Amino acid sequence: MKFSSVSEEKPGLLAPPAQPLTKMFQGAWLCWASLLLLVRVTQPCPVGCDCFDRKIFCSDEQLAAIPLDIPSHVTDIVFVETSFTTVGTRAFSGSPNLTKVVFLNTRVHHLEPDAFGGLPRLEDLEVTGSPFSNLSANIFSNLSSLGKLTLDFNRLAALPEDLFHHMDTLESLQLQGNQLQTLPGRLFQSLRYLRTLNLAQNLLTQLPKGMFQSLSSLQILKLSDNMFARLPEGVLSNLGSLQELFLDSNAITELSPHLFSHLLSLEKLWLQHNAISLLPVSAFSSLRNLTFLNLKDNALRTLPAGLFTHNPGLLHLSLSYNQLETVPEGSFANLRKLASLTLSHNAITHLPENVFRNLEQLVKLSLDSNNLTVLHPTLFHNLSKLQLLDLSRNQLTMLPGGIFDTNYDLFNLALLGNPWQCDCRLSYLTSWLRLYNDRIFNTHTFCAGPAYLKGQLVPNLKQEQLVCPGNPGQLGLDDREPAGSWDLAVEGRAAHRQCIYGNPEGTVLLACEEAQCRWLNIQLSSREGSDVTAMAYNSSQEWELRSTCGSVRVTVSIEAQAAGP
Amino acid sequence: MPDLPSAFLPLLLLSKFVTPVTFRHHRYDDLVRTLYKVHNQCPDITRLYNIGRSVKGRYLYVLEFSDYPGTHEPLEPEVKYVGNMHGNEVLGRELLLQLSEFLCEEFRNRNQRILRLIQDTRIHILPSMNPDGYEVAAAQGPNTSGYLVGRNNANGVDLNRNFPDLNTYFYYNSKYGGPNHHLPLPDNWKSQVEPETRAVIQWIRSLNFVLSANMHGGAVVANYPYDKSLEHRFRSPHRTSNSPTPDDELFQTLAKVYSYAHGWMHQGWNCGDYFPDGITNGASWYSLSKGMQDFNYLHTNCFEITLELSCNKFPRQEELQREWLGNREALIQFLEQVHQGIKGMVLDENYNNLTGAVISVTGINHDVTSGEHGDYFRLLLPGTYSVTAKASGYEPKTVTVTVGPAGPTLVDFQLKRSTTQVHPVQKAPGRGQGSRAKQPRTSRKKDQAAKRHRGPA
Repeated sequence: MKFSSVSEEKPGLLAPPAQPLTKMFQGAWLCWASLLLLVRVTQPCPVGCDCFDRKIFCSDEQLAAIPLDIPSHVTDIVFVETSFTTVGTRAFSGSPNLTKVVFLNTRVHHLEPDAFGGLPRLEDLEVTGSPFSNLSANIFSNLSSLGKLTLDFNRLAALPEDLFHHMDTLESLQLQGNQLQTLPGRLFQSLRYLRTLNLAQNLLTQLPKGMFQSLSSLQILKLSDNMFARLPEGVLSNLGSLQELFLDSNAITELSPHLFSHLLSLEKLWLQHNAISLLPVSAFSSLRNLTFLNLKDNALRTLPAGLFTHNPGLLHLSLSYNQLETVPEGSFANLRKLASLTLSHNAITHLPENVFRNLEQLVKLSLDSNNLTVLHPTLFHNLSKLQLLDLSRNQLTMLPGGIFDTNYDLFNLALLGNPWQCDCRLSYLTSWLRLYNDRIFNTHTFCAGPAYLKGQLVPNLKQEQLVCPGNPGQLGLDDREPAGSWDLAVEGRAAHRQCIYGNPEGTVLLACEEAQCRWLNIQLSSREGSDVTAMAYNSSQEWELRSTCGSVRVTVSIEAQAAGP
Repeated sequence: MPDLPSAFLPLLLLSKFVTPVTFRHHRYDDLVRTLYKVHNQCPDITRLYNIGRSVKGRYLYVLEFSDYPGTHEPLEPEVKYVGNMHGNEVLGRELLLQLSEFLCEEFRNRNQRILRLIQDTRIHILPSMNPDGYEVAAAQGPNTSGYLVGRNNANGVDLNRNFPDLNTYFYYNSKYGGPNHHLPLPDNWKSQVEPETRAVIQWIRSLNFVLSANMHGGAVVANYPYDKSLEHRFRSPHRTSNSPTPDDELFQTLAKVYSYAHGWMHQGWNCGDYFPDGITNGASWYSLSKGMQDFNYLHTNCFEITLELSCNKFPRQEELQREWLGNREALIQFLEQVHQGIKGMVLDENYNNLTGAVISVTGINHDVTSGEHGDYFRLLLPGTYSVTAKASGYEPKTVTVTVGPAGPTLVDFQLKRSTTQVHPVQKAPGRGQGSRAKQPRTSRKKDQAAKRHRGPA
């Protein structure tokens, strides 16, 4: 009886607990799913901002504070021309996933001491175009992952020495366009992995000697647009990895002989727009990897012999806008890879015959705006790859025959602004232009003389216009064989001898062969309106023209015909 | 080289001694940062402004270069470059960012050619008209084979098929009489176009642009108007034909300026296609309606060409430097062309500026109008022309002008108030061009009134 009672009771107890448990589980699951959906759906974009996946752009000029409701999944936030003026302590601590924070031309002028605290993953921080002028020493102290810091175009006048002391991972530091006058000597001491340092457009006049001594990884250093008159010896001595150095637009008057002596990796050196008047011969002797050198707009009067001896890899060299009067013969002897050489806007009066001899890879040569009067016939020989040659704005009256004979690729030759004398000595040039150069490039190249050709376009000249009075037009030799010789060859040559008769002013020219005359050129009055009067109607004029063949008399008359059909 | 105007004189290649720029692709945030950097670096000659927003809300930023940025100086022409109209065609975007950095850097280096250009020209650079499409293309990565991914805007619309179609109206007017310039917009145009198109239209109506280029990819050729074939409606859509504008010779010259200054465009053989001189009439290549370059010509004073710049629409980062070196001289020379032709002031007897005066050139069936400051600009090739200025209520004036190779030629007009009391006669359009009814615009207000009466085109 007891056994039967116990058995009956047990099944009854098992049923009720199972059912409520199942119901509770289902309810919990539904509740969880609803919460998930709600969270996702209700992630709002902060007012005044635009959201693109994990990036936020806040461009509302009325945005008066950093939003407190930045979604937590956001990695990039950019503020453009917003109006809040302060970044408060730990302003972004609710967004621990941020890797990029950018302020562009905002009104921020105050960064609280721990403004960027709570951003362990921040890699890229930029505050640019803002009116803030100072930073507290520990403002960046918690940014352990930062690789790129940009503080361009603010009003920073001074930087605390410890500012970058905990930024071990920094690779790029941009401080361009501030008002820095001096820098503490140990400012960059901790930046062992820095690759790019930009201090351009500040007011720096000097650098402490040890300024860059920790920057052994530095590849690009920009010091352009400051007020350096000199750099201390040794300031660059630890920059063995440096590839590009910008010193342009300063007030540098001289370079110490060993300033660059440790820059063994340097490829590009920008020294333009300074006041360098003298270069020590060893200035570039350690720069064996140099490919670009810009010395434009300095005050160089001479180049020391051997200046570029140790730069065999140089590809582009500019010496324009200096005061060079000539270039020593061996200056470029070792620059066998040079592709571009600019010597324009100097005071060069002559060039040694072999100065360009070894520049076999030269493509572009600029000699414009100098005082060249005569060029040696072999000056451009060996320049078989030359494509562009600028001789404009010099004092050239002619070019020697054969000067371009080995310049097979020359298609762009600039000649304007020279006082070309368009007589027989220009025959080579005009023939060459007709064959090899597109006349469109010389549409402003005019003759300066002789008087009757002044103002004529050089490329449009005909060969027979290029004559020298008193000389045979075709042959360069007087034929001295006695007349009456039985030698047919001599007789044939004599029969084709041409004489050019001319008057002293060069206004009347007559081309004749032995038995007849072929053309007559008369300039009745000078283009300059000189005192020579033009011929009137119904008048005649007579000239006696001379050449080495003798003299002839030419009479020209002009008769006005009665009007008729 | 074929015969080309003497404007090629400054063909000496720009020096390679320029500060190197970073050659990389720019996503939207990098584009904004780069533009702000250029503006901050050259604050006295630049202005950064936006003309509107894309579908997704990205700003269409424009960087202006001028010696007085933000101000139109009378007789100083406005020019524009537009890039990245198709989001996946990205070289134009990168070139325009490089050009911005280059102009700033060369200005600071006191490059005389660039100094003169910035002093005499007001340059507007819109690196990306389709920033949403760009992000779609960039997300694919430059090596994927998706040919059209990112071409359209976020609404799936091809922006170079989205402008009001004024070609049909012009072709009709050429035949039966009617305006040959500043064709009106339909009343409901704003509801017909995408936000990016609307922003650009409002932009080009707000400034009196004279010259323009918009940049694409997929070919290497300089394309000039018309894009829409004159014969399209009457022949098989598969046949294309040359469809010249009244300024065909001028447009060919503008296109040749770019192609011959380019490193290799002029060779003609590019991307497996051949275009003589590296140029093509748009319609003779293939016809397209509602394009931006035709709209510029038909609705405004602006002469626009379309530059196809690279075979690969989204070139690899490593190719960008070569592309920049190949395009740099062309980008500068093309801007310099805005100084060809004639320009001047249109004034009344009391030396007040006349806005909306019509400048006609005999033999060219396309007029231009004077701007809000009374100045006008008419691009012309070297030659001798008969030029007439007309304004409502004033006696027309005609002068003979010789345009030289170095321009522009200054030609001012002073118009006397008309003393004739003839009432305007309402004529039905007659046959032939001689009876064309010109509608000079003396003020925007009057133009609005005229548009309301006329109704949709």
